Amino acid sequence: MSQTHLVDIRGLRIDRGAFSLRIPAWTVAPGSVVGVVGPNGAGKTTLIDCLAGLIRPTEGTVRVVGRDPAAEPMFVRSRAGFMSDDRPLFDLSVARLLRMLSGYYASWDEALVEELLARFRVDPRVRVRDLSRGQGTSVRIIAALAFRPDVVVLDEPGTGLDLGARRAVLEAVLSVARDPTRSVIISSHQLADVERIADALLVLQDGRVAASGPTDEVVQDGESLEETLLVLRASGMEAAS
Amino acid sequence: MSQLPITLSQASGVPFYRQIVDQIAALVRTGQLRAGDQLPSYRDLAGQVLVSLITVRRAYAELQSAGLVVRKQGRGTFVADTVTTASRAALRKQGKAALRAALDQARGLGLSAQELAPIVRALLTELENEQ
Repeated sequence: MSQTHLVDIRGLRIDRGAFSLRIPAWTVAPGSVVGVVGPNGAGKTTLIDCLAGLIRPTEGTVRVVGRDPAAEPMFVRSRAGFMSDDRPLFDLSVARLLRMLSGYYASWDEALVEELLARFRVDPRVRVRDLSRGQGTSVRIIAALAFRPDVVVLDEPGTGLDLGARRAVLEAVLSVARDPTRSVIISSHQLADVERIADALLVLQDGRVAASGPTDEVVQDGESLEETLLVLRASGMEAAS
Repeated sequence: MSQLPITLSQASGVPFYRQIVDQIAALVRTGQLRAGDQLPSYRDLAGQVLVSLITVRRAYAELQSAGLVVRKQGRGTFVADTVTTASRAALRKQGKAALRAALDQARGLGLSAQELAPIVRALLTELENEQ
């Protein structure tokens, strides 16, 4: 299996009740930051769950670090770090929680954890249940980065974060992608942040790809990503009517 | 210079690549970057100022087509050697505009070009003697 792309999707169809997600082709090159954007219900989380091996595609092939995540979830999870803002954390102190997680990964980087805790201003002595929403998000991001995965997948990493922590997210994302062998996939409603750091965008709308490609091709000159999404949404509704 | 003193403003509404171009051009103009100085790699600058690689690449491409920097295959991006000449030319252009404005003002007093010519020549002689 070719390792030229860290994510390689072909002919993907996922049916879940009345909703269906279709992505004819999508790849993530090493050394890049890719933004997945679109309104709620567009299919962003379905896509991410599929990359994590939590959902089996109805049709098509999905490869993450060269493997099928539904068939080899353990392998994929050892090389791809997934962060989501709504999964519960064990109620321990932050330090103990991270130490527990470190046992699962040979590549866990203690020095990086220290650096990230400082950067996100999280006190490792605090119990998880006493963390603010934003600090909980920060701990989830740290856990996704700490074992230096080849692919980092961040689902709504800006939720509840103050400006300082949002900046820390951007720094962390770009420091991963500075390594030409690693990539970050970031799904977020904070469009200005995504536009700022993403090399490429996948715009989803009602389970379909509304646009995909390098950021400067998807977003027109002098336009913001927010405006681009509004235009795409309007033309999508026109096409549907 | 290991880190370029570049600060981007989201609020300004000016595209990030344009802000990078303007600020690097200013560093060259003020002599903080000199001919032959190496600029940071795409990835290093992107990580420093928190923008995508695409944005940095675009900024460097603009600087290159403006003749301010040169890319050397496999080695990186450098401030162009010709930059001193280029910036002298820019200064000459500014100087010319300033002189033109002064001459326009003098003509506004009712003096003709023929009357002004000997004055300009005398002033230039004065300048040369001062040096």
